[in-house]
Amino acid sequence: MKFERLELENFASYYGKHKIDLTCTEEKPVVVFIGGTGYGKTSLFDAINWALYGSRYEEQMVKNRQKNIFDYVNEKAIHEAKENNSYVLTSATLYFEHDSFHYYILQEMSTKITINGNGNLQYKCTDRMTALYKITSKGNHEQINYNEIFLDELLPTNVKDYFLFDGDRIYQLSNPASSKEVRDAIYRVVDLEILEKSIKHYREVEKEFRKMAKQASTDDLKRICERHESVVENLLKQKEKAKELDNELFSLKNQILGKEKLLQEMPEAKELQIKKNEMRRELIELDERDKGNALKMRKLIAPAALEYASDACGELLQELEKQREKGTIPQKVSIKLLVELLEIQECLCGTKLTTGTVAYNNISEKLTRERNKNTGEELLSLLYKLTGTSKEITRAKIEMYERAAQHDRNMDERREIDMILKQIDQSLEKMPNVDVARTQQEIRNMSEEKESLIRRIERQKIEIEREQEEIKKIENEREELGQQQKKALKLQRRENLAREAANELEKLYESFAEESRKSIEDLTKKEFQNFVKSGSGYDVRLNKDYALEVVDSNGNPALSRLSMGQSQCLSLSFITSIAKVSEKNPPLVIDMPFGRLDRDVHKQVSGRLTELASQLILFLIPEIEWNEVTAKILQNKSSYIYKLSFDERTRETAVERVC
Amino acid sequence: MPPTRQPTQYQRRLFDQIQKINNEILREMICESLYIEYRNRSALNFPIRQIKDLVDARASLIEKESEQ
Repeated sequence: MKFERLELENFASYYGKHKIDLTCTEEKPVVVFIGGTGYGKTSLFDAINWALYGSRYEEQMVKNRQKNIFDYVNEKAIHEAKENNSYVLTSATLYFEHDSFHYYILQEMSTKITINGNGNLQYKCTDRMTALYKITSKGNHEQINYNEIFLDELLPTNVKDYFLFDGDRIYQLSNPASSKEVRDAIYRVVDLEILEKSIKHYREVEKEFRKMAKQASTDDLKRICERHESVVENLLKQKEKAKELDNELFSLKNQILGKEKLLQEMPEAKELQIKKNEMRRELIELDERDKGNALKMRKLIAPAALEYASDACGELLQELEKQREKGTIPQKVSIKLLVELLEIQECLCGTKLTTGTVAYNNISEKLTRERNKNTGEELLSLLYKLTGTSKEITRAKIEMYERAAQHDRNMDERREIDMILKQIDQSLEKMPNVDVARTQQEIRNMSEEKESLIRRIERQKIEIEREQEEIKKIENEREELGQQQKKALKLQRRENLAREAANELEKLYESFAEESRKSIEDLTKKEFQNFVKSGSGYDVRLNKDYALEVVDSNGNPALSRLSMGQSQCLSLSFITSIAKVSEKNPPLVIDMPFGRLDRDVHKQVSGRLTELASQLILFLIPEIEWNEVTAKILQNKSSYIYKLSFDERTRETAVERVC
Repeated sequence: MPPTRQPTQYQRRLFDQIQKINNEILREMICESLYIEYRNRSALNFPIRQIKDLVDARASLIEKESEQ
């Protein structure tokens, strides 16, 4: 999709009709609007959003900015309508090209203005229209259905926030406390939302079939069905509760991260907080090592446990050795050789071993004798096996001792780190700076709450497992009884099938979510290197809690060491990755992209932005954002540069093309 | 997948994961239900009846096959 033109009528500070050309060429994919604060930049951004998403965008504006659509009716037009007792027509029309066809979406609203008893203005929408037109090759305007499927194809509402956004978003995303937003973005863009909805729908169908099966059954089966229904309902509630607890934990972790970041920004606490992060990292590594150690110990348990049998094993070995010395166990005679001699019918000395000859018969008898000594062979083999086993037991025992000692050392190290962490926390709490002490106190309270929550989650998991076992038992019983009642059995089968599908989808969801997280992590890493050349020494990670992390070449956390500009580039890298993964390739519309960016990264970001989308529409503040650095780069890449001017007296915005 | 678009790379990856489901009946059911979900992703009233019919049809097929 590419935007071609925006037409406005009495929209916000744009009085009367305005036509703004947005057509871009491949070489010059940028359109720039330059205007000071309050000049109507954000109104143009809102007009594009409103034209595309209509009432959905209105709801979003009410929710996020406490603004309703009447706030966008032009003031001068309102005054005129009031004077003339007429209506104000407000509209926004967006012309665009998509898949080689030309379209336009029109949002139009008539507003009647009256004055209430208190002398205040009252607005009433008297007519409202949303229409989508396709311009045919003959030039006719053919109205087509403005529906969600069409919008989904262009740019689904839930993904649009990553194409039409403002500078604040860039500022926020790299904050560790924004991991919920990061998670939501991945969730939306890779359609995890669809998988989750599908699971929910299968659960609903499962429930319905369960109810029907219960209604169709009688006597004992009915009772079993009722019991089944109640246990299943309970299980679903437990699962729901587990999910709520998980979300609660996720949000608590975010809050703690946010507070710790705050602490790190306080000069008095910075050093201690950095030390604390390093200690925690060591703790994680230590736990990983100990986990590996424990796994190996588990494998050694079985052979090492045979230590208890080693005395008996030794005695048996001695006994077998004595037998061998006495000759009860023969020295190994090669039966194989005798068999082969008989097969080739020739002895080693060259004597022919033709069947029936004396030599042949002698060898045959020898073979029979050797075969009869088989018991001795078995004992010999047992002797060899026991010798090997005895060595294996000793080896496992020694390694087990070494690993147990390693575990003890790990535990000592752990205790030491725990102690240091505790001391850091105490030092922070005792700091004379009230803000530091209070923040640390809050972190401590939240951490205690987190621990308690983790324990509750564990208990919840045990409860869920118990319910699942109970359900299995009831289901077996139900199926046996159901065999006698065909109709109920049929419905039970459908219920089971819906449940199996939901369970399978749940597994799919888990693995797909993890795969998506990893692929977005890789993309973000790559984009970050493109944005920040000096960032090549850093590694970007998207951790399991969906927080963006940066580590230096030594593997130490480095997010706090990034400059403000670098961390904003990290957010932009993530936004770019999300946009790439969605593969929608619509225009990128950014309101005040450099507003919060350091001036030193303006060059990198403005240069890189032009490569991110086939069309880029930027709303910039003069001087701060539109400066000699950005102008130099963007001027050559822009098809249009518009300057917005605002007349304080008439409160009108004028749009003037400057390039 | 949305009816008017080519599947995206991540949709293809999702499809690959679905292909790994061993149970053929569940695999096909999940494919069909996801198609319904995509077609109605923005619908205010999701046609849950279609999922119910899908489960019913698959179960009938299993029953017929086991009778034969």
